[in-house]
Amino acid sequence: MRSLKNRFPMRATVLAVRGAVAALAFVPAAYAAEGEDAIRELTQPTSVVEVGGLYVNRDSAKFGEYTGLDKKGGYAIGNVELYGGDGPEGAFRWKVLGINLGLDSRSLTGEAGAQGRWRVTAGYDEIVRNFSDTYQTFWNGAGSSTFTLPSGYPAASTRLAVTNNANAILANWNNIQSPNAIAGTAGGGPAFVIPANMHSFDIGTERKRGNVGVSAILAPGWEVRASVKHEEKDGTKITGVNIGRFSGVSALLPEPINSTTDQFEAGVSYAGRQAFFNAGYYGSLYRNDVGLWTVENPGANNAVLGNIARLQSYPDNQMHQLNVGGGYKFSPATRFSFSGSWARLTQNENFIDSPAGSTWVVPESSAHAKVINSSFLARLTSRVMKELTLNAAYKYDDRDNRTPVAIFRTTAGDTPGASTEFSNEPVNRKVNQLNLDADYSLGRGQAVKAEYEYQKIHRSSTAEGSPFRADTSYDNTLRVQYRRTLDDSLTGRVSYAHSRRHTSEYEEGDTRPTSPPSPLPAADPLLTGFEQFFLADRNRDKLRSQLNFQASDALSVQASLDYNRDHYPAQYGLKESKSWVFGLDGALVASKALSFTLFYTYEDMKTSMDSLAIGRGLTSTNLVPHVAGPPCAAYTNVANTLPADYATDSCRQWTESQGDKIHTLGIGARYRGLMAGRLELLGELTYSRARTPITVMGGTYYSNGVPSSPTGNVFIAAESFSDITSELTQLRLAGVYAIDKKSSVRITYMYGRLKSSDWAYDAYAQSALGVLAVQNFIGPGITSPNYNVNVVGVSYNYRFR
Amino acid sequence: MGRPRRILQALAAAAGICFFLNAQSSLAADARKDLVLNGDAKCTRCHDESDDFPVLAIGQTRHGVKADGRTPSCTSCHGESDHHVNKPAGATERPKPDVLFRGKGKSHADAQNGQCLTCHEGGNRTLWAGSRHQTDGLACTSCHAVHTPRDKVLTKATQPEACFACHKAERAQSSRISHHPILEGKVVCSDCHNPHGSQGPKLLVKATTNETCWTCHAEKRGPFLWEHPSASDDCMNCHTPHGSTNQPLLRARAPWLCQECHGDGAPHPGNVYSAASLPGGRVANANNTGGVSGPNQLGVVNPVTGARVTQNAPPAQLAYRSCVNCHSQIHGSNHPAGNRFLR
Repeated sequence: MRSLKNRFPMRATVLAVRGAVAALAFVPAAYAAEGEDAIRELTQPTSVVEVGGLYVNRDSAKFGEYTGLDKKGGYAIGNVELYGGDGPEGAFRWKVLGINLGLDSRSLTGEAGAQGRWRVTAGYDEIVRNFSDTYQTFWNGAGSSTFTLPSGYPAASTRLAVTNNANAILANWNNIQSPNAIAGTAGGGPAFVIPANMHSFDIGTERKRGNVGVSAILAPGWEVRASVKHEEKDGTKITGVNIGRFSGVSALLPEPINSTTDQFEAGVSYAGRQAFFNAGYYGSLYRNDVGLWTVENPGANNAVLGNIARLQSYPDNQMHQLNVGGGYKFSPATRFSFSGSWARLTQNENFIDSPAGSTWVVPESSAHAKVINSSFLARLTSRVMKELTLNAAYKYDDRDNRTPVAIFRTTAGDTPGASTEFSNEPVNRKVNQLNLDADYSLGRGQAVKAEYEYQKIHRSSTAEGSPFRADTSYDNTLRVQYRRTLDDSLTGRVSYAHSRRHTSEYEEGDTRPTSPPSPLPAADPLLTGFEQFFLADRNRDKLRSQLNFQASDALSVQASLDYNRDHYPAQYGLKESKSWVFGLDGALVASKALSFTLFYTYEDMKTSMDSLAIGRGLTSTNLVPHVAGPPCAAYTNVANTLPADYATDSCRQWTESQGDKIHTLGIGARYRGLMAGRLELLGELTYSRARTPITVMGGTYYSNGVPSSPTGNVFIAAESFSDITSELTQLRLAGVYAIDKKSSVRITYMYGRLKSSDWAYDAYAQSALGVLAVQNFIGPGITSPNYNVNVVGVSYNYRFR
Repeated sequence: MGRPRRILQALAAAAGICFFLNAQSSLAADARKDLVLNGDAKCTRCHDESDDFPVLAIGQTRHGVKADGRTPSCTSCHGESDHHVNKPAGATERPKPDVLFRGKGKSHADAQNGQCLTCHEGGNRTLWAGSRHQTDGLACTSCHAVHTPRDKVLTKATQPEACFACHKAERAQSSRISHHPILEGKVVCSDCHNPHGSQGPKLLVKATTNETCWTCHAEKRGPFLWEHPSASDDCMNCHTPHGSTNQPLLRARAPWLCQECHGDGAPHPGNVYSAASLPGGRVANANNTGGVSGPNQLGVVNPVTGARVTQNAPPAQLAYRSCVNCHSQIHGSNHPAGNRFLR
């Protein structure tokens, strides 16, 4: 009987990955061996070397996002799978596996050892991430840690903030649209057009990893092992840079990346007839060679201190963890197992210096950050009778943050002026979880399982104030499952789980908070009735179902349907998140030579939230009485004045829902036996179509720019967005022709097409103002990704022993 | 193996047994040469190189290294199977081996797994008993293929195919516009999951979700001076690991994802962000006075667009990275002024 598992490779983007692996699977029928040769062929490993070339006809960072096939041109195919050693009678074996050796996504692994005594492994791996080839910036220094304004850009002293005259409005450097508008205009403009000075920069990262490991069996059942993994990550990633807080300018810039991560593991394990045990150490050291990186301010003079925004990349950190685990079999039917870990996480990177001229007070040289993570799981399982198995498990997780609390006085966004006082709030999290389940066999291929889970999460902070508005949540889950096997050709299962999470008292927000005296920050008005989703009460339903039908040796079908729903009863916040997923798989072996596979998945997801737009300002003065309810009347827009009913005004209510409707289809075909068994043909097609509708209803008030008018604040209804869509097609065709018993030629063609539309890119990059579509945000010009790429490849494959 | 062939083989075996009995030549079977494993002759006399199911390929695997004293024989896994080897008189059909791992009449998963665990107890399988896959009735052979030289699930390039046989939603998610490089063969299921049972949720390799993510994303581990509580709490509060329509692997689109926690504040976290706020939308057009707030409404026109300079700028929260356009250190900050994650 053929298994449904040998399904659909669906890796059309990975031409070279398929190389050696696919080729190895192919033994030309024309050269099928018999007798002793056949036995040798079956029992002794075959080595394969594949060399060749690929041609990609177009540049596309998205197409080559992880494969390295991002540029038009030729690439080398190189795949190897080599075996050696003592032969059938010896224990020493070695093997080398190389994949994509000609690409930036190459991987080379090897191992050698005398089985049953020792083993050494080593590996090298590269992962590229090509992020964008449409990114633009007008700063110089992309790729470095110093971003400077281009030559010809107006001197800081000429970049004055707004005053009330027409030319100054256009020269308001915190309205970054203005330099575009002012070019050549008399009256003080800089005559510098930002969009015209943008230049492209390819953003992406490359990880290079190497690892070495060794293991040895010291005595029957006893094994020791150790490994080291070193990774270097270089390149750039897009990072948002705010310059001068909310009245300043922001941009997306290529943050430099140059970091290393070293991971160490060592351990010992024992496995005997009744007991097994392991203990080990895991260490991870992260070191970032990029510390401070700076961006010259393009906005108004002195919007940031010294006109330089100073940013700090991720700090160096360490984690050291001890692990234990094991088990004991009281009887063949009853066993106890456990696992535990204790980890110490530290981070002590020196803070960057306070900027010259600032009023900052930084009380420590570093955070002295330390977290202790403890975790433990104990489980008892027992088959108490032939039909009944019981499991009980207890789990404990504790994140104990021992970072000292200190008070810092700083300014956000490197702004000048008086600093504001904040203290850090180290957060702790403690989980207690109990699981009980019973599995009962009803006979004749039927079984039922019932599970209960209790989970308590306690969140806290060692600081005086806690960022959590509910400190403890209790989650009770009940799950039942029914499995049935109707002879060997039809099996199915269905399960349903319901859980209820309730939290300790949720601290309501205050819509009219009283601000503490400076230097403490002004209090943020918060909406009463709003609950943060991960702390809020929640009811959860999950349904899982699956049916497998093996109609014959040639035909198998599998269908599944999953449903999930989270409901949050709070008045405001996330209200509901639900999804259902339908899957259908089929495999048909039409003949010994011809086979087909097919899958289809449809996912329908939706989340929805409710809220109400409150404001910050005076609530006692209401020059024109506000009338709530439709039609939503305009009201006077005197500076910082809000209607008295602003926290309950139904005209300020809004709802948002977003969905995902995604079809994914895969078809595969394989034909062997053409040309007297010399030729094999493979074809794979994957098609995915995603549509993301986002609906926003309700609305709120906006200034019409005439604040002295009785209708200075006008109601504007929310509008829904055009759907975000992406349509991905990947076609791969391959033919393998056996020249002789040892060699073959493979010809591959691949077509990749992505068509996407996303207003988050296109509404800004392609608007009339382009990269300056937002007044204080210099856009990166990135458009939603699209590509249409053809790839052809030819390779020669040699098999030997 | 096709049925006619099987019948012929059965008849031939029966005839052979009779012949050997009559000729008192039972030693002949013992004299057969083992092909791969010690003592495999009694099996490979039928399951030879011409068998459709390539059992002999076990010779290419770790289970075929005879020099390792732990290497099993056929019967170590399948049982002595005397009735299968010597079909009882009168039986119309040859009985199955004592432990059968595939096909019709295969043994119960517990019986199959018991054979494997005889040698493979402990290690990564320490927590197999009571784990999700075990209690759902999976057998080792649901994922592993013992008799093939290249077990799909043990090869990075092919492992996801084995997992996707059951995990259909994850297969579809890995084709989305934002995804981990699973189909590209650079990240595989076992990088994050231990299918044999683990201390963590969702069979994750580490005790918590965050610890699992940090094995590749150590820079986000901190601990930071300024913590983002939802990030310290659980990476999955914001991310979905297999694939998403929202970059970068976000489970919902920002700014509303952020507003699920910060949708209640002023001045800007609780704003309503809708298509009316996009460039050229009704919000911008509502303020067409072309001037700054205050008494002077100047009617200044942008010479590029011809539109009046507006105070109602399209919000950066709808563009590109949304809230993270400014609050970029969203996983935590070690900058003294990073309490709002702007640094």
